Amino acid sequence: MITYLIKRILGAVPLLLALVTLVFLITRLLPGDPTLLFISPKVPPHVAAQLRTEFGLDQPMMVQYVRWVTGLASGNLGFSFTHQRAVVDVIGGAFLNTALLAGAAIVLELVIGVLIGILAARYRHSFLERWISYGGLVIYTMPAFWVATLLLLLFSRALGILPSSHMHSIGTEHLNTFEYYLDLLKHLILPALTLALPGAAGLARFVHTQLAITARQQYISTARSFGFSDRRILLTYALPNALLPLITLVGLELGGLLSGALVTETIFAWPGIGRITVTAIFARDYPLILGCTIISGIAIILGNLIADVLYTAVDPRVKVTS
Amino acid sequence: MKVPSQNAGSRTRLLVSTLRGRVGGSLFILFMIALPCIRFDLMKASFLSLVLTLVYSIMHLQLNPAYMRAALIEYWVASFAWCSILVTGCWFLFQKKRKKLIVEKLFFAISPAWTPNRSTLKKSTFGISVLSIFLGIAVLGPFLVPLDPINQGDLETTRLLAPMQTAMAWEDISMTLPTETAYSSVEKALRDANNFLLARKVKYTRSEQEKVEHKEQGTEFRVVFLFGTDALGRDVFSRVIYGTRISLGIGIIVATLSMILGMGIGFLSGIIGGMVDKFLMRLTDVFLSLPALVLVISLFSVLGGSIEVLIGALALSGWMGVARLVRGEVLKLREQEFILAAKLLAVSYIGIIRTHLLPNILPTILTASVFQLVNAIMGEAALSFLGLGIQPPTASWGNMIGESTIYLGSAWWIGIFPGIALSFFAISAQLVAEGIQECQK
Repeated sequence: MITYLIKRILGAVPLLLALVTLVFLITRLLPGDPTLLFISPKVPPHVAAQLRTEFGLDQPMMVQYVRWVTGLASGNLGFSFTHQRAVVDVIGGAFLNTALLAGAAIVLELVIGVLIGILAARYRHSFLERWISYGGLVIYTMPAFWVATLLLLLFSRALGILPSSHMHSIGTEHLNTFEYYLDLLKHLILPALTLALPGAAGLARFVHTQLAITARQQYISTARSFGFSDRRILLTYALPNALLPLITLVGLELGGLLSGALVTETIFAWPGIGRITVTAIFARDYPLILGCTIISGIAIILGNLIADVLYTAVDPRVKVTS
Repeated sequence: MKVPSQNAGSRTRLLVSTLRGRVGGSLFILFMIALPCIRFDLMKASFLSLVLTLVYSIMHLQLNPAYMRAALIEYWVASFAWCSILVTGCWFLFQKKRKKLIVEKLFFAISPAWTPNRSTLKKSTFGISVLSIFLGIAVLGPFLVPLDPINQGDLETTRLLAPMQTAMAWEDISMTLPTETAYSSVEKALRDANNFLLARKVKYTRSEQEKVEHKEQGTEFRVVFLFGTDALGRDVFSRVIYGTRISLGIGIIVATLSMILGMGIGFLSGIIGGMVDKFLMRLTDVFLSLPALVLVISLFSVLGGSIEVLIGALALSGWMGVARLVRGEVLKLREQEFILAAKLLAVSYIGIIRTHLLPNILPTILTASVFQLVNAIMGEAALSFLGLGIQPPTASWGNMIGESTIYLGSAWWIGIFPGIALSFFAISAQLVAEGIQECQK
């Protein structure tokens, strides 16, 4: 198992390197001078030149590339132009926020998706099942920004019960701990729902079909012939088997979410990786763009790894071949 | 040829499905006839313009550069499309033996092995109908819009009007073509038709004096804003229709490009194998782990905001799934006996691809291309929403929803209608793709 893990992680290194090289080339080969964005035109040219030297922008590209990769090996991702801080610090702070959002979204998605999927499978060939599958299709095909717009329209403008953006209200530092977290929770609900709803709809469809397939298995017929109740059959026999492939799905999804939800975080002004990526790209903050790409690459690869490892841990029929 | 059908089934069901086809067909014909009745002047001018331009260019063996305007070409395309849609539609509807649904025939034409059951057929019929309605809206756009979609209204009188509200307007004739002397009768008629088409911009009456003036001249008319107006007084209904054109156009181009790219790479890596396969698959992995939006946004922000860059960037971020899918299918098919037989018969590589590989992976490719279309349209919408895609004043569904977020509290109608269009499109495309997938089982 451990050799398998090490092999997988080592195998990901060239992939990451290629990814970084690609992003490096995309951001540097194309025209556009980052110094123009953070140095005002009034700054005398020799100061601008000095700043360029300071950030290493006057070096040939190969040198910049080698310097950056060697820095990466020692955990140094460079210095962000716009934030005037080390990239690691900027990303580190944002990553926690993204992780909070991703965690909330995954939990919501799992709970909503699995419950509705079970509901649809439990009441097969009924009115309920049909409307669940229609509604699921509608929500499943909605893009994130459209879900966000509708949620904002409903909860933030029409009902006015949830805040529309940012992570904290103004002046939360004066509140006590309970009120502080309540405020955070209120801000968390809408972005988490935006991320979770389309996924939950997909999950519900998946669980539904998966349960329908499982219901035709012989061990279910056997259990039924023993006279077990429907609930017991569902909970102890059908569900665990039906939910197995779900682990892979959730692992992949987690990877995607941890790499930052660009659109959702931008809409809700959530200070996470996604929003930082977007602002970094707009500001041509090269070190930060590269750092964000690395993080998202790592997150996606890690998500795949977690999915594989969890699957082998849960399903004893699958053996790791290293 | 007798078509084997598993679901020929009971007579009543056949009758119902045929009837439903007739109802749909009648509605279609009704619409195609009602359109020129409602917008008689516009369509007459448009057809005249198309025909006379053709006559003019045949007579002089050259095109008149003064008439080569995007606004006019739009009208020509729309009139040509109207004719061809009418002809094809009637041809479909008045075929003698029409015991099968059009969609069923379509599926049979793609692959004789596809025998959809009733629910699959229902789904696909709904999906294909909605998609073709969208396509129709896109090509007939200039005839459907009541107002020019980028014609800014008046900030006092037409700003943020709710759906179904009205305003008084008069036609602005400042956009006429340059006058020349010595007209032949053909040229004169052509100029008149083109002037009519180009002068479709309206201005809204503001002051009392203007109102009186235009009432006296009889040039004033009432404009109904079906879906309301946005912050610049533009008609949301017209913008949604023109947004359909942009979104669908970009979606189709991007989907085609990424399909070509993905299929090329998939075929190369599946057929050649070896080092080429390894290299191409690693490349695919790299592109897959690069978040699509990051690639698109970086290309877009660095190369600048043009439609070409948007299309290129979206195509570059969408081909990986297709490449993997096609490679997998090719690898699976390569081991089949009929390929071996063809090889033993000394059929060339091209021959094997054409007669054995392509027909067998066609269903996969079709499903993938529907998903590609949806992804492309969603990608365009997401970028436009962020303000990186289609730049205003051109309307696209995405940037309309993006613009609407500021007015979420005061004017819900700006974003709702393009959102509904987007949802409808995605749902029907999803249904079509599911239908094709179910056919293969």
